[in-house]
Amino acid sequence: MALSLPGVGNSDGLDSWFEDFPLHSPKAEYQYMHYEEGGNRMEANVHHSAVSLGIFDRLNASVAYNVDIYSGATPSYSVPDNVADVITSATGTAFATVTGLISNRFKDITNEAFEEARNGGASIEEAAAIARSLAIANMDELLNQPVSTNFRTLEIFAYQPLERRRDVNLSFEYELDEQLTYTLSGGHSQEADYESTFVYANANYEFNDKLSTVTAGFGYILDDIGSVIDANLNEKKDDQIYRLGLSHILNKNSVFSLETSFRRSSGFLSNPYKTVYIRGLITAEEYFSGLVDRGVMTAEDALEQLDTQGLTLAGVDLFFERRPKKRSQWVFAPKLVQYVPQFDAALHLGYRYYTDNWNIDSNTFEVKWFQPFSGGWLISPRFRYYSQSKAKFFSPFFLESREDGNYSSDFRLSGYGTISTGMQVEKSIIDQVSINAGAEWTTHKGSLKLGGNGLTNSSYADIDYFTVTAGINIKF
Amino acid sequence: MKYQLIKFVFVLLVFTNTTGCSHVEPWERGRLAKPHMSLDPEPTLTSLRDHVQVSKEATSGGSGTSGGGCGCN
Repeated sequence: MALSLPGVGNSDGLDSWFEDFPLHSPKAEYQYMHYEEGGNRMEANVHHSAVSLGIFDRLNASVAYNVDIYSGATPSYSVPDNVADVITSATGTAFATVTGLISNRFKDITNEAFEEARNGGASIEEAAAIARSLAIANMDELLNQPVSTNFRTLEIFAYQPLERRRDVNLSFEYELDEQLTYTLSGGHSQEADYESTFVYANANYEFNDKLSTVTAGFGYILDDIGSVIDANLNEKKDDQIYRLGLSHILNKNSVFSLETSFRRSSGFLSNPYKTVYIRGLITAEEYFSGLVDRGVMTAEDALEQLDTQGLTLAGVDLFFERRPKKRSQWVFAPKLVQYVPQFDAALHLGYRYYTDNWNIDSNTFEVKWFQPFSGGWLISPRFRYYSQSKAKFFSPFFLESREDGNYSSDFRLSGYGTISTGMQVEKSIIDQVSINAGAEWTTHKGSLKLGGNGLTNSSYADIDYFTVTAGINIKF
Repeated sequence: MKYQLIKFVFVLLVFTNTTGCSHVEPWERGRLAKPHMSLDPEPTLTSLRDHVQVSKEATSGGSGTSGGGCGCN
């Protein structure tokens, strides 16, 4: 018997296929976002496109494709300004390069001391020992310069060349009956140094005469992490996400919702591009010995003989950051949507409390106002305030080692607050087509943290950034 | 911090109580069915904003969106 593929060969096949699998409510959308930080830092362009389609009456399928293109300067580490010179002079990972640069600074002094000792009648061994002690003392003085009380913290930047991130998401929503809806989605994202795969399952149950809805969901994300500056880096992390939500119609003008979630992250949770300045983990004597006593050696060989708590050397007193390998995160987020009859408007009030076992707490308050106007216009101004406390292993720099061996100077783990204000405009051109455009400005400051004084010193990590968006939605 | 949270929940409860909690018949839900009265009237934009926030902030969650990616910079 000849097989005929639906939609191929003749129109009868196509009609029959549509009879078996009736399609309805197809929708398509494209959304663009430009993100830009002040001070010529990071810039990103995000392109999102998606189509969704009803299959039968109860199944809806959608596919989304996203591309992010980004580049720019991003902070790598930070140091007190009076020691910045020696720290920034060497950023190679070769131990000999690092120690050589330090040692060369004292070459003349040690040669002079050696000659002086020899002229004073010292043997070669004695003169070498005197020169060595002098070099180590000078190196120690340079490495451990006192940090004054009115120092400034300097951020040292690295340049991120143009990179692309692409992701594809597929989602199916199945309405089992009047009350129960299942959603299953999955996706994959890819960058030059990062791959991520996720699945998410969700159930939505409406009850109490459809006044209440309870939502339960589970997600799993598996990431492969590499680094363009370290070809040997090949790490993994995974996330398990558990969600429980409740929404309830309070009256004919308002709806309340509460979302809670627990997320457990395990594996490599560090950022492979961030480094930290840690004073004293390698002593002046160890730096000196690394070059002079042991001769030229690789970073790996030198580090095997030094106790750096397993951290990888990235420069003078500079190491790649390390974060704990586990993180448990809790979120509690109530929301109220209130209709305002006088204006035919909707007021959205949201709050989110977050806490985790890295000692980070955050509070987010968000207010949005959706105001429809005649002619198919919808204007929505919004305001968001966000405040977080710092991670227990964060500091702009470390003047002594930590017992647990975890260190990060990533300013995103510092204590700070942000204020965002934005405006979105949507216009329905015809019933089936709407376009939108918007902009949002964000100020990020240590002093905006709830209670103030987010950063231990000054405002070195303060930044401003903005986004502009534009998009189109089509219903066929 | 905890006091602020308690205060916020208290204000929310007072607000929701004053607006009243009543049985709403299906034919009384016209206003609730308006697009801008849905819990998230702009899910795509929410997802894009989340993408920025995940990349710039240490904490995330609560908006119902999920996904992967680095956000290293």
